[in-house]
Amino acid sequence: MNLQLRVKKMIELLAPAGDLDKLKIAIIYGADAVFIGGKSFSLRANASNFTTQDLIEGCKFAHERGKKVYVTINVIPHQKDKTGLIEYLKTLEEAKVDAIIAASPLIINTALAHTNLEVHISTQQSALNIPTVNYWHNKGATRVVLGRDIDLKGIEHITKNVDAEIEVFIHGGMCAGYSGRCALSNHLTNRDANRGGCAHTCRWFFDIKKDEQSTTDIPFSMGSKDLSAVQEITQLIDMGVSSLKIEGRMKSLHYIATVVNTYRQIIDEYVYTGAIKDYQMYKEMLEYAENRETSHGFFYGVPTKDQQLYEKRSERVMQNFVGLILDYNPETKFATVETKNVFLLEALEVFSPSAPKRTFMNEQMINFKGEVIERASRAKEQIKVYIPFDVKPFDMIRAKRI
Amino acid sequence: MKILTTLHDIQYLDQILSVADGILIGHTNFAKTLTNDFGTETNQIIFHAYNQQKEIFILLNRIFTDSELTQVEQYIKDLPNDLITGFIGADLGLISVLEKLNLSHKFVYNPETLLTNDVDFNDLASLNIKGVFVSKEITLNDILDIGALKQYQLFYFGHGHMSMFYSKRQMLNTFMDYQNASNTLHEDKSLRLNEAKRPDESYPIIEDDAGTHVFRGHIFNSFKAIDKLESVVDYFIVDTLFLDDAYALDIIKMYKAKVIDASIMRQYNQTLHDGFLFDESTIKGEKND
Repeated sequence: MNLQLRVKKMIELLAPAGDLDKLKIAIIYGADAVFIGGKSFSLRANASNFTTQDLIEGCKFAHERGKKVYVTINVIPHQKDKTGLIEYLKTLEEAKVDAIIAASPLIINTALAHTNLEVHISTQQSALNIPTVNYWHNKGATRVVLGRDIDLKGIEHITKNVDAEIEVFIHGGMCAGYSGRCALSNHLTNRDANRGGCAHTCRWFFDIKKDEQSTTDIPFSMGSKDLSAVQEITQLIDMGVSSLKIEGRMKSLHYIATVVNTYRQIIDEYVYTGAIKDYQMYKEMLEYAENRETSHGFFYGVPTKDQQLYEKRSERVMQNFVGLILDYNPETKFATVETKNVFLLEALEVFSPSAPKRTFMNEQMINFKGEVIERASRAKEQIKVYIPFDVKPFDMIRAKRI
Repeated sequence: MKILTTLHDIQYLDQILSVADGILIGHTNFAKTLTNDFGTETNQIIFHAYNQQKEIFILLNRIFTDSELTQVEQYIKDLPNDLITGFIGADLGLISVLEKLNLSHKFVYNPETLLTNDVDFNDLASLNIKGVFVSKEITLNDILDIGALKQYQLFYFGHGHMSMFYSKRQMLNTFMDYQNASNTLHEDKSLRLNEAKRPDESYPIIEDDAGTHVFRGHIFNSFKAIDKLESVVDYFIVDTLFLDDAYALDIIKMYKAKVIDASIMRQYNQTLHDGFLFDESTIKGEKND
């Protein structure tokens, strides 16, 4: 097996999925594995999360395509939260989940003792050195997700000197502090960050004072720019990292499709050609997603001002994802489209995991009553759109929006 | 129950040792949010406390990379380890360093937020370490439940400005740089954060070589719970960061007497809070939303 094929076999693109639709989109758009939250013991308490039936269907969908499903059970449980853990883990095992991602020894030990589930150690444990990775590996974990507070040299040093698989975050939101060690949300909002209630307090604006006098009119914030590792993917592949993780179980279908597909193409180009011709093209592809501003995080050392986010609170709202294709009739050339945002008779673009992006002039639309319309104005309606070329279910329609 | 505290000024050492059972000290390269780094006087403090039959704990409470762990190992080797009671660390990687030096029985694990149930609390018991810190973010009842099941010594943050946030980022430096100004705020303990919707409390923030740290402005106290805590806590910590040694003397005496001296507390004009001892944080913040 040549090097490129071996790398291709080993590297995993891991994507978030807040619900079953997102799981399918992530896999169709190029993820090798997805991580999801169940109804219990998950840190994204406000994410949609999966019922048991969704879990079974999601695992079946993934496994039929040779992909994997991991379930995050990364709460730090209090005494009363211990109830029902074994039953819950058994449910995951029966649904054929491939691994759990956990931070609490209670959950890790219980999974190892009572199930055959593989255990991955969550970034909540802030593993930044070899002895810590080995501690968890010796306990029985097969993989450790490194803390995000480490540079590329540190990642390489660990990856090359441990037996555990190493997973590294490559894209998405970053905790401003050490993950799992932050209690800002607990104290300022009474929401337990380690049990799914993080209020992202680090992104709030504060007035910084010395001797009760403000030091500046500019609001202080601890928030960081999102991580984006477009430029670093090839290095991470070369150093033998096992899994490249995209953050964001709360993100939209379109965000997941866009980000997953971009990194899929970067990985594939590097694996098949040994180089990346045009990084700028990939950066522009990511701009279609609703990112906050991005940076390289800790990859080149302790962050500077260019990695922090000041005077800006929210991600951009794009509204450029206007429809999801449900089916297509090649004879009539009408696609059934689930509407997502308003669109008109205007130039549109089809974003597909299986073809380069294509544009068309939207000239005919028919609503669910069979009426010809000029404006698709409501979300989640099924309408017919004339598209002059073949499209497939799960392809997405984008409009240009500033 | 023994009471440990921090130290600001070596001139106060004897007085502190006259009320506390031991002290917490460290080196700026390996600890965060120290009251003071005593540099070349560190060994003098250790010898003196040991001769007073008091306990000495070395703070190693940063999260370390591998190269930093190598430096930690050398630092520990250079200390008079026979005289040191324990090494308090936030990073599991320290266990391996201490094992190499035959000192793992002196390790005290303090991940601050993570040990919230008895299984997590006891998870290192087979490694024969000295003890661990129970989480600051749980109720008194949970602490008592965990304490009843403890397999090694229970350490407890009992009084002081409670830490809320620890980042490796130098956030005051980057904030000043954003304003095109030089950083005059590093190691400045007088800085406070204010948030518009919470005008009644100012949050101390400090940037040191370990990173950036934010604390509660109101003082966490355990006076209402001290009788019950005594039954399970082995080491009770009085932390005086942002305060001073005179404050430690007053506060420790009150905990030993188990009585709040209202006149002394009035003198300090502090707002006290009970943390989560009697009011558990919610999962989705139902009480606040």
